[in-house]
Amino acid sequence: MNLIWLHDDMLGARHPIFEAAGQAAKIVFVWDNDYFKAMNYSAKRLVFLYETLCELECEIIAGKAHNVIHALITEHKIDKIFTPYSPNPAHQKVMAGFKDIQIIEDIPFVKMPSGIVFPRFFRYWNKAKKTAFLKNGGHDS
Amino acid sequence: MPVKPEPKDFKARQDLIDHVMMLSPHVKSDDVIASPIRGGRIAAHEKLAQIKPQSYGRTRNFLNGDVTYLSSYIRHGIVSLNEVRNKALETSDAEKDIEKFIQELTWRDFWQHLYRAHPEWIWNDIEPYKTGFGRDDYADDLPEDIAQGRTGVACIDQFIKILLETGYMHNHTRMYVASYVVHWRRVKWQAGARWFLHHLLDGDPASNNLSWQWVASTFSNKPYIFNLENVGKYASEEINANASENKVLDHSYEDLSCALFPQKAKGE
Repeated sequence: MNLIWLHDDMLGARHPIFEAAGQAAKIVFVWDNDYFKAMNYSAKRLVFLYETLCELECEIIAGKAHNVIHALITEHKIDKIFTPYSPNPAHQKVMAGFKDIQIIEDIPFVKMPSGIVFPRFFRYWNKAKKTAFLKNGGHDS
Repeated sequence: MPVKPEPKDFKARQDLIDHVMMLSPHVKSDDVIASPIRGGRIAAHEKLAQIKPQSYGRTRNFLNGDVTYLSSYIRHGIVSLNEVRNKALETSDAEKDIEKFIQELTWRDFWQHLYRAHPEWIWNDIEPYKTGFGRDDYADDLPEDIAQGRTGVACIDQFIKILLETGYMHNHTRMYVASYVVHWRRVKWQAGARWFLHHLLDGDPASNNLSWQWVASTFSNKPYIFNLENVGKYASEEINANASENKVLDHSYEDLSCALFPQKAKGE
C-alpha cells in the first residue's frame, strides 16, 4: 500500500499525486502542533484547516509529522510515500527524513524556461503571459 | 501502538471548533477562535462560481470591489491557480477583459517561484531599506497598540479589526497597514509579516513576506506610502476617513515623504 502525506500547502482533491500514488493509497494529514506553533497559526487558521480536512478524503492524525508517518509505515506496511511538493523548509525537513519519498509537483500554472530565476515581476510576466491565458497553461490536463 | 484518526463528522460548527481547541490548546486563549469564512472545497467552489474577472480588473483597488475572496483557498491548494484561471477563461473570449485577473493570479505564481529559488529571502532583508534609515533604526517588535488595533488612527484601527475578526483583508488594506507599521511607526517588516501570518487565513510566507518587503523598500526601489486622500478614494462608506480622526495620514505625499524619511530627503 502506498501512503500520501498531505500538508497545508496542498489540500485539494485534484493533483497529480492521486494518480501517481494510485487509488488504493492511504491519505493522511498530520495535525502537528509543533508545526503550527512554528508557523504561528492562530485559532482562526486552525479551524479553517480542520474544516477543509473534513471535506477532503484523508485521515487526520495528531502528532509530530515525522513520527506519525513512521508509525504508519510500520503499521500498514507502506511501500512508498508520496507527498505534494512544498517550498516550505519545515515540510522539506520532514520529507528529508524519508528515503525515496516521492515528491509530486502540480501542473505548472504557466510554461517558464527552467533554471532561470526572474527577480522582478515584469520579467516573469513577459514570459508567463505567453501561456497564462491558455487552459491548463498549455499543458495537457 | 496503532495511530488513531481524529473525527471528521460534527453536528455543528461549534463542535468542530471545540475539537480543534482540544487538539491545539495553545491557541485556546486567542481573542477570536473562528472566522466567519469557512474552510473547505464546498465554500471554495461557491466563491469560484461567483468570480467576475472583468469587473475585478476595473474595481480591484476599491475596498468594496469585485475581489474573489479565493485567496484563503488558493493558499492551501484547496483550489489551484490553474482551476481559477480555467474558470476565468470561461467568462470571456477576450484576453483583454481578463488580463488584470490573470496577471494577479500570476503574481502568486511569481511569489512561489521566488520562494522555491530563494527561501532565504522570506525572512531576511533582500536589499537595504531605501528610506534613509538602516535596519537597526527599526523596532524589532510590533507595538501592542498596533497588534490590538488601538493606534488611534481611525481607518487603520478599522482595517486591523477586520484582520483580527475575520482573518481576511483586502489587498489594498494590507498595503495601507503594512506601510503604516513600517514607515509611520518604524517597525521592522518582519514583525508585521509575522503578525499577518498569525491572523490571515491566506497567510503564505512568500506572498506575505515578499509583499511586506516591497512596502518596506527592501524588495523595491522606494518605500510604499499612502495618504488619507488615497484611502478616501478607494474606501467604502463604512471606513472612517475623517481628517480629524486620521491626522497622521492627512498630508500630501511630498509632506509625508519629508516627514517619514527626513534622512532620505537630506540625501537627495
